[in-house]
Amino acid sequence: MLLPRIIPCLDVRHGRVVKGVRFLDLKDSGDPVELAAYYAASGADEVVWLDIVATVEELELATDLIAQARRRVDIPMTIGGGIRSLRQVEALLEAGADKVSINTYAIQNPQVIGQVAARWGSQCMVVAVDARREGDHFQVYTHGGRQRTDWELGAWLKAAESEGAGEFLLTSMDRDGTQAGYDLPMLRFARGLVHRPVIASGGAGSIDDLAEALRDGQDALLLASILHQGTLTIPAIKAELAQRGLPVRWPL
Amino acid sequence: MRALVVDYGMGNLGSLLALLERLHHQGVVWSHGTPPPGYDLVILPGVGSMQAAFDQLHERELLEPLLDLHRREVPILGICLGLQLFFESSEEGNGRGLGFLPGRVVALKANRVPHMGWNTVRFRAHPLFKGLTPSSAFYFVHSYRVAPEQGEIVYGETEYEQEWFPSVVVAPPLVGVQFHPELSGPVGRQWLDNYFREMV
Repeated sequence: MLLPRIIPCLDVRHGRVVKGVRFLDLKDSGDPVELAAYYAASGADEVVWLDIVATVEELELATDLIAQARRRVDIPMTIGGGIRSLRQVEALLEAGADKVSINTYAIQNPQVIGQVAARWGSQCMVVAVDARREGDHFQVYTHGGRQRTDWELGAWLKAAESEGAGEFLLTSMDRDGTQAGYDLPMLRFARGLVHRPVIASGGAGSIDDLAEALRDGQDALLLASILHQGTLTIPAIKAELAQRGLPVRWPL
Repeated sequence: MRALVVDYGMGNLGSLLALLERLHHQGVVWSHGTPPPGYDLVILPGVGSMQAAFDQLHERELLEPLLDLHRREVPILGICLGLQLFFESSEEGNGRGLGFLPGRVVALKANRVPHMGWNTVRFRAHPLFKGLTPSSAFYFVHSYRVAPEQGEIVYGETEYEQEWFPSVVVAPPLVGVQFHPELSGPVGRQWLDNYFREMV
């Protein structure tokens, strides 16, 4: 049977991990290569690496680090953040990314989804979506949540799927950073609508939150602040989920 | 050992080359025409569509050399799309395969594709699975599956959305896997190590 994926998210700026993991016994927990290798070795099922690659310098720095990480990370790596051209996608994939995640640029220019899918396969095209509840529906935002779009969530998911999206990374802006649990109604809505894998993001604050999302039918969970505080590690999370009878890749 | 890794533009090779290095084997990238001299085996990796793959193999003049290597019974390991290319044809855009093995490539019946993530393999007793258990999980990412005519070459099967499909095919000197050993952590490393020890 397909096992759910537990996916730590690295936030990287100018070659350093921001919101770093302070309590891990790493040589340098601000080094994204060290941290990605640590996550892979400790039982992560994938790694999402969010970086800013808008300028030539930023892209070069990111591709250099990703190439270093690739030598040590033996699980899939998704890279995203500020991608605005096929050339950037090509550079990231060549450096060793298995998938790229595109958010704002995909909304501005939806055909990029199909272009990436046609050239490298839809499996490497992750469309990242930030959405929040507005009355009776969910609305899509871009630019890190600063800009409202005209897209209702369901309409955008269907449009992106038909363009060739291979996977969605769906963040609830209402829950992001709150550690109040995943936005299960929004995730349920999204999964019911599209025929692609959906990674749940935003709100994980405890093992209870993860267990609740898995029992609700989610099968890919992004972890950010829950790991950054250093109170929980992936081995502790997976051992506890396994103990509660949830199927996870544990022990490795 | 020295492995030729076929580079035909279908997915990056970084994770595979890194794993070969960790296992103290040499991966030599082969991207065009005549194979570089001196090799013990060929690895045919790749993700994506069979039609595009076949076109790329043709364009890079890799098709004839691959057929020749197979005629000379050089061991070939197919990974994901590489396994699918062993067969004759695909229903995806009428894609052609290398035709090493009788059978076709068909779409998964699942509601949610690709089949993406970690899954287990129900395997037949074989030294390829030494040190692995029925709960050992591998990383998969694919929307199509192989349908071999000869059931006896299927050594491992995997279930996704109630459909069982072949995930390990053994037809020496061909071995093919639908999963990605290079993205499957310690389990993938163990499997590839077994492959080198037992099949090459």
